[in-house]
Amino acid sequence: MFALTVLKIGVLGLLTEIFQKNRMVRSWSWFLFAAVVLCLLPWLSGQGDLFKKSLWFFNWVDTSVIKIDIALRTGPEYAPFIWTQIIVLMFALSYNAFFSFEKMRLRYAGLYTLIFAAMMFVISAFNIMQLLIAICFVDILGFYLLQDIGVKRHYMFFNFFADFLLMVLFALIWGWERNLDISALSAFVKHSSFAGYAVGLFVISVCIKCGMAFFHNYLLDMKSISFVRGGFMMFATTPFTGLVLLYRCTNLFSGFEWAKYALEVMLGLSALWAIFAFVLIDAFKAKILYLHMLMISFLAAMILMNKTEFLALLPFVVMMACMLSGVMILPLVAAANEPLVSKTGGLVQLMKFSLGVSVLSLSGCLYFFSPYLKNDGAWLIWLLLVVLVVLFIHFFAQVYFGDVHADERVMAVVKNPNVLYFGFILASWAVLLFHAKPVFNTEFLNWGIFVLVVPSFILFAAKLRPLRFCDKAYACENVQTAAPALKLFDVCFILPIKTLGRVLWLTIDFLLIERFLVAFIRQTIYSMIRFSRWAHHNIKYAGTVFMIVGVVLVWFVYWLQKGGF
Amino acid sequence: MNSVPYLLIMFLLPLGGVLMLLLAQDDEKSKGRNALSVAMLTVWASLVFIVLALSHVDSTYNHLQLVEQYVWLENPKITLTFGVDAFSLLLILSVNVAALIGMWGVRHFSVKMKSCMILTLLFLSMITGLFLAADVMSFFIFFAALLFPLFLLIGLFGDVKRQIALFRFMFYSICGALIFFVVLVVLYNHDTANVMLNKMADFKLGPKGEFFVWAAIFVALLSRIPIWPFHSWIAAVHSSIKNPLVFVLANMTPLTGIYGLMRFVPEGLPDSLLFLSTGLEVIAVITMLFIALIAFINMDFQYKIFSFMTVYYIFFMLGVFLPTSQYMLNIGFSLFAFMIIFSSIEVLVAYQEQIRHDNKLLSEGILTLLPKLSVIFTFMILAAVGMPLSAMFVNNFVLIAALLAYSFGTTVCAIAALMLVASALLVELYRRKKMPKLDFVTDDVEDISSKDFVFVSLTAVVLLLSLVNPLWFIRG
Repeated sequence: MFALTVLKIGVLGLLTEIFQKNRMVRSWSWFLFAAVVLCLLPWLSGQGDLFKKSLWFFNWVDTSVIKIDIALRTGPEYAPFIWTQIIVLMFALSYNAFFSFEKMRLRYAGLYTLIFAAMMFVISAFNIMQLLIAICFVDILGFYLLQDIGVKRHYMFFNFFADFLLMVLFALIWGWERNLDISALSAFVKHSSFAGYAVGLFVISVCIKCGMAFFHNYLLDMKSISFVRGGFMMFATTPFTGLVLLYRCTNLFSGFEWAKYALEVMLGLSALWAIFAFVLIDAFKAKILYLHMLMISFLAAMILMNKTEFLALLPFVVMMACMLSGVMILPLVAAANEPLVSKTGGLVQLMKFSLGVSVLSLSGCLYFFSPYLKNDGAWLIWLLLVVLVVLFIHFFAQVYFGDVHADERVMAVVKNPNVLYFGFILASWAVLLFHAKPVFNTEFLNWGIFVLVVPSFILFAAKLRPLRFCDKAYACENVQTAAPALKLFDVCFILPIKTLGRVLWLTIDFLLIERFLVAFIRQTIYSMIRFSRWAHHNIKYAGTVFMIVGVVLVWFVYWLQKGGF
Repeated sequence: MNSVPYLLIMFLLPLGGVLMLLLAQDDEKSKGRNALSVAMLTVWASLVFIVLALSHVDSTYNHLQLVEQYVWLENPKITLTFGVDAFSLLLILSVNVAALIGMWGVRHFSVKMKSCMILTLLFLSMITGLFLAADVMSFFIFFAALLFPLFLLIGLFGDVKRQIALFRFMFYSICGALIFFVVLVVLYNHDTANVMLNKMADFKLGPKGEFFVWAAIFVALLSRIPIWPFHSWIAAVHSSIKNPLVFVLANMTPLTGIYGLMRFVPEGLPDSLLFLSTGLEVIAVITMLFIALIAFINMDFQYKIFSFMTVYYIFFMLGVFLPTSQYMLNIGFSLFAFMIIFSSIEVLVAYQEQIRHDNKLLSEGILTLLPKLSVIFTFMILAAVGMPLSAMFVNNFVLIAALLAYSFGTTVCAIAALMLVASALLVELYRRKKMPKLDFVTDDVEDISSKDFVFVSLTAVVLLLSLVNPLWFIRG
């Protein structure tokens, strides 16, 4: 059942890619959306086999050296990951069907569905080869979701390095254990003398894949594409494969606590980077991406804690991220696609409804996550909720309550966006509320606090604009354009490699080989030719020389025959 | 003897093609199209026989099969023995497919087409003979003979620096062939019977004799691979060739060295050379890193392709330190995909260079003007850098695993070189895909034709098939 559904969705994506047309794009997008919903209907209605154990199995390569099986399977432990992907797919396809953000709508819709199918192979992999190949396929398909060549370039380079490191890591494991099963990882770390290197490689790969601090630039490039595609790239391609990888290969950390600490430090750094950048960077879409970066750090931390109740929250966190990015896009759309936050401000008069929905959405998130604040390890959720509230208060303060910086012509057209924009936000909100456990014993308290008190507090804090001193950063060109991580890579890796290459080329290739070795051989050959000419012309002297050489040779052979050395 | 002498036919078919080519009309009107058609037809026919032979070979059986013997001389008694296994057939298949792709790449060329095709078929016949050879004598004959058509091809189609290139090429290759000849004489002097390749490892010559013979064999075979510090010589040859077909053929010479190493030492290095293994590893790694580093800074795409090929060839060569008989099929499949990828890249680069030359354009951003070519070129580069788009992926995984288990340090350096050379290709790809400056944009540029696009797409499909089911045409 599960395999059949994935196959159907994959085929739908493939057909869309092959037969994409320029005519009736909207209808075809709708048709694809409907078809995918139809395929997923048993799961969406809660009647499917998503939480039951099922297995589809294919014996792919079977030689004396290596045996590789491909499998698709479900079970309670995979369900949160599968649900997450369903949510992201629905988010992307519904926006694709409703709105005209993209010129090549069908192409992207096809790729979204294909990536979903590929992601199912990543999630349900039980051997490292399937994991590796499926991750690479997701990367390749993700690559075709990008059009801008600069974005593609960074995306490809970072992914190429991560994939290559993963390949080396898995080759090391397979070479040692001769077992492709993911369960072989624990045996490998116990017995192998190279386990330390392997864990190091794994940490670097996960950092690159998840786009953690210093490795995040390839994901931030997505600010030049539509926010739906950007969101999809964040939660359904490379960074999500990083999360799955982290979840599936946690065995590698046993006995290597330093690796866990290293990852935790990186996650902390990523979260800090995302928070500061969210506050300081001017562009709407960049802010959304930093929000996603924060969420991915949070998800990785949840996986690293390895608590079942936290894992079950995975789809809801992603849904919250999608919903909040929808909230952030509202003023952008309303202000005639104004890309900079600093060029808005004072929109509260013209967008009261949008502000209300936005504040209620944030409050809904708080309501959903509040019951988990008493659990073991709840500090993580506390931290996330506090950070989110602070960040969004700052965002609302700038966009809705700040001084008006917008052009008069822009202000003239500002109004609440099309009602469709609220559709996904409200749908997500409804899902969160539906699955939420009540925080307090009485309905009155629950509704009163999360519909009145919390929103009022958010609005009041936004009106006060506590972080308004940060607005100065928008005017600072260096802050807005700085890419310290890329510069670091340039200085630490690219420049030394180029310098070394140039020095080697000049000294060895050119000076030593070309000028010395080749010239020496050439001169030797010329000398032999000159000697030969001389020997043929000066019979008297050459004859004497040859006779002496002959006598020496005869003596040498005689000496060798007598025992020589 | 088999009822159908497949191996002899495989060797003679290209020679038959040469005879047909000599009769083919070649004038102003035909512009070499006749010659090209005959040559392509011959290669297609060869491919049919190769696939037929593959269907008769058991891939699980590690010894030479379909053995055929032909007496050449009675006194001294010299018998040529042909025999194949799945590995050698895969290599024959890959050189033929690569040559076919190269021929497709020169189909718009008209200068000296007939000579080019005659020499190409001659080369194909010789290299097929080398892969079919089951004894040392046959191996040596083809090992030396394939230099002749290659020498003429480089002489005819090299650029202005071809004299230096030819000198270096011949000096390097003939030295190797001469050393091999000395080995042959020593072996014949020791035992008048012709030694079979798979029996070489068991041949006893005494400690000094064995050391000399094995060292000489290694030097002779390594002379075909651009090993440091002689890599720049081969680089000079390759960068002087602008004809894609000749470039593809010239770049097959290292394959003969690698094949020889695999055949002569199927179970790892011989005991007499074990003490040299560290030195060989060091030289291999230095060459890989050196060439990869220079590829990273060199702006010439031909050099980058050469570097990519050399680094991969040496990576496959490192397999000689493993019990190669166990990994032979993996190396064979990887090489099969590798040859298709590199020949396709070379043909596509030659097309871009032609466009660049005709329209006086820069190479930077040229792919933005050629969208169809860009798609297929990107696919090939992604397959080349190691994405799972061809048989290279799984088989390289197996090889890397085996090498890591053999020598961690050496393999890590080799992997670094592979990553560097792949990065060099990616950098070049994005340089060519970068948006050009406004004055660069022109509407006159003609993208790859539909026919060419279909042909190259078919090679991409073959590559994908090699990933999906690499063993579909092999029994066992």
